[in-house]
Amino acid sequence: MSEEQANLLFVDDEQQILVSLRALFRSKYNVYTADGGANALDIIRTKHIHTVVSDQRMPKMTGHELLREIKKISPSTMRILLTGYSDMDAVIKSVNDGEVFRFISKPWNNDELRTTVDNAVQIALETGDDAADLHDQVLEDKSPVGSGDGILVINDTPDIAEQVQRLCQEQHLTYDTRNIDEALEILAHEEIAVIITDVTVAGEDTTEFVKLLKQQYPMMMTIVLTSEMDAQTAVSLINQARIFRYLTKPIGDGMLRPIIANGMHSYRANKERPNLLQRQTVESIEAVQNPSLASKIMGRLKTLRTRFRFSRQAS
Amino acid sequence: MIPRFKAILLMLLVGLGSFGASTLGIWLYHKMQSVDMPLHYDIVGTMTELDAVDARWNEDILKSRLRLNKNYDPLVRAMVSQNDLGQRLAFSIKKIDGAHPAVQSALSDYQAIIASKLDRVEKFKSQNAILRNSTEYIAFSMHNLSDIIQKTKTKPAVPAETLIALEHHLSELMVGLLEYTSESYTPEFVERQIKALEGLSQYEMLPSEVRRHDILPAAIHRRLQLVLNHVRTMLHKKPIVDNLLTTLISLPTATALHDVRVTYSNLHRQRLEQNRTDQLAFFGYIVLLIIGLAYAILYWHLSHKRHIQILTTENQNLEKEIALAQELSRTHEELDRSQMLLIQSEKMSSLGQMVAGVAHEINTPLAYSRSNVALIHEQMPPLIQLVEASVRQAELLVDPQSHHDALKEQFSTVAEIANSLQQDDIMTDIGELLQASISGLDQISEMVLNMKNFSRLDRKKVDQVNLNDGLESALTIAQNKLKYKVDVVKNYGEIPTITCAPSQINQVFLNLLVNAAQSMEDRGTITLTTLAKGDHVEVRVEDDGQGIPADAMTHIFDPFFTTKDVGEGTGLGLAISYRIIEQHNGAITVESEAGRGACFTISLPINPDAELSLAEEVASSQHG
Repeated sequence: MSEEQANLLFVDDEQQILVSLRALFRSKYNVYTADGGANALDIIRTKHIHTVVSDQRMPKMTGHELLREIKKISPSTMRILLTGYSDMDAVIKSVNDGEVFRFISKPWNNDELRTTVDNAVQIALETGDDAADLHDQVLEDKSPVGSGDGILVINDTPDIAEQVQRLCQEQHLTYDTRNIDEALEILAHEEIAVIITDVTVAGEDTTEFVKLLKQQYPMMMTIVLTSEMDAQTAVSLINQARIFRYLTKPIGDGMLRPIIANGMHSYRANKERPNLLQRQTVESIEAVQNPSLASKIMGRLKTLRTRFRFSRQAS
Repeated sequence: MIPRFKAILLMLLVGLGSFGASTLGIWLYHKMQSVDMPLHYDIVGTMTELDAVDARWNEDILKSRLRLNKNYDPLVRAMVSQNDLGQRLAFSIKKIDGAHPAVQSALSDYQAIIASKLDRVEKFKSQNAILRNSTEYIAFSMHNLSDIIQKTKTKPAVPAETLIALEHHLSELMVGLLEYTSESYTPEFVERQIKALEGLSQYEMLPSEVRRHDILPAAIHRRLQLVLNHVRTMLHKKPIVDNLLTTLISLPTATALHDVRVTYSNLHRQRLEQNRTDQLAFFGYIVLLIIGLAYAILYWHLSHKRHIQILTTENQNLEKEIALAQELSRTHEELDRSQMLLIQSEKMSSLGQMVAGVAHEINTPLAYSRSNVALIHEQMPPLIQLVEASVRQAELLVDPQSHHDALKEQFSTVAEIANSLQQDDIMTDIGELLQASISGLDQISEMVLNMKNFSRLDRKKVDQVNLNDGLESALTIAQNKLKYKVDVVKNYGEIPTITCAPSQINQVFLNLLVNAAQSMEDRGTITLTTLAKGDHVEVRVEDDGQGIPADAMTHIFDPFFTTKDVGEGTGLGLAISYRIIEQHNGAITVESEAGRGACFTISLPINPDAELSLAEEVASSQHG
């Protein structure tokens, strides 16, 4: 409620939704609304929008398509998807194409929505300058050779690590691990920029590990590579682990190469401009389902912190 | 039937085979047994005996000739032996089977010789008897004549010198005869003596007056004549007998017998050789028989074994078949079950789609209505404050003891709250939000009503309905699928209500609408047409989507046939639709061209004939 109110943009083809959202936020923000992608992009081009909240299912242009366009036009705008229709396709596209900050389901809880939007606006306000040139889609990894930014693969079989090794051997070291313990061991000794992990490794659910890792260590970019298709898991990984990509096995070189390059790019940007790390903020983890795993990971991660300059920024 | 026939045939063949084999065996055995060795030895013995008899016979004949034998008994005995033996030999040889012309001819030659010999023996016997008789008579007469001559010497009537000459000639005749008979002397000497003696007794030929004066008495004369007759007979018969004897001895009986022996030996050798061959053949036959028998036993054993094996195999096969049949029936059951599951899954899938669609349709009004009400609820504190302040103000107004200041202050409080509310457009907002919420709740109500209409769970299974309503109901349910990509054109005609199972028909409509929407890559139009056609109502669902490829047209209503990607459809939607329409005694047809959309036409009778069965079918399929 400072001197200058932040600008919000709500996009939904259902007018009544826009009415409600306006009513909900207009006391605090400048609220813009659009009933579709085209109008939304018009507003994005003319106004500096701090946070956009879009429906997924809309005629002509879907939510993730809109967010992808917005990301190109205005990289600093925080993107939130608000949808009642969380099918897997939409979820995956929202993270991979739209790089959404949050994925929120309809019907929403007013307080939670306010909290999320407030959080996003706050981050947008604080990182806006740094994020303004966070341009999109690096297709080639321009990292210097042997830059030391390692890639940690956590997978049941060696094929993924081999693929990554093949793709990145000029630039990065690839570490192949079979379980969380091995991964922690690598993390304790090597600088890891990108983690590529399945959601289940060695019969163990890794999502909690990924979430805790991101919470404690927001600079690392997490790519989930799995054959499990569960929208709920994906949504929780977006909101609580800020996963960079959610990919399905098997993946071709042509697709994986630019994704790793982009992950590296984001990692490096975050490293160079620590302020940006705020954009990697995760939602508080709903409930820790495996406290012993959590404490183990936390214990190990605490020892890692000293190795990084930006240990406390995210919490 | 055929194996039985085969078994009979086999038995017949086996019977014939064994009969043939045993016949062959018997024949071979007989052939082998045809060389009767006892017979052979008998024949050989007979021939040896015949040889001996022949030799003895010849000897006997010679002896007879030489009068060494007193009588002909040995000769007759030899003849009998010869005859018996010859007959025995012929009989024995005849006993030998087979053609043996050489032996037969040799034997018949031999027999012919024997016959002629016998014949000659008979002649010899008679001639020799005469000869011998004469010889004996001569000896006796001589003796008698010599006695008479001695007596006559004493009578002076006869000159002595005549008598002496007579005695001399007689003696000379005897010697001559002896020499003649014992050795082959020519008869001249004897004939000379005869002439001399005839000369002495010539007076017999003299006239009777001379005869009185003959010198020999009549007794001597008579006896001399007798002797001379016998001597002449002897001289006559002896060459004959000699000749017969010579012929007899020279008859080639031994040679003929030898021929018989040789031919028989040849025959025997041949027969022995044949016999060896036969023996070999029989042996071979036996060996073959044994082998055959062994083979038969082995075969039987093997075939028995094989039969058992076959039986076992068949049994196993049968078991396998049974297992297979069980497997098949199990698979069939599983298939049935999985088909049922698939149908169920299709139902669930369409239900799920419907629920998801409806949920989304409900979700949106629910989301904003809820948000609105929550927001309004947030505005409750200032409103409550306002109400409380207003009540307080009213109390102050009616209270005669209240201070003016307090009243004024209360007024300003109320005004402040009211202004705040006014300023923030709270009341307008609340009005709008409430209005939006009401419309949201109305939307939800409508949705629920549509679902009820669509599923008709609270209605009769079979009912009189207007299909236009059914299409509408399906459209609202499919709205979620259609909303962003399909323009719906409705050409509803004036159609009568029909008797049908509306929930089923609605399911068909929904299925066709969803298919039509899915066939559109981007945007498209669905044209819905209804019209009455005689006692039928026709519903057309036409789209301008991708259409159906020609090769898929014939399978379009087959279960599990789908042109959609894996996971997008079970391929049962149209199959179930087809079944539903079939159960209604209706028809569903399709016209399509790839790239030019598709038009499904449903024709339903206004009054299905089998209304009861329809109800039952529908009821049962509802349970399924």
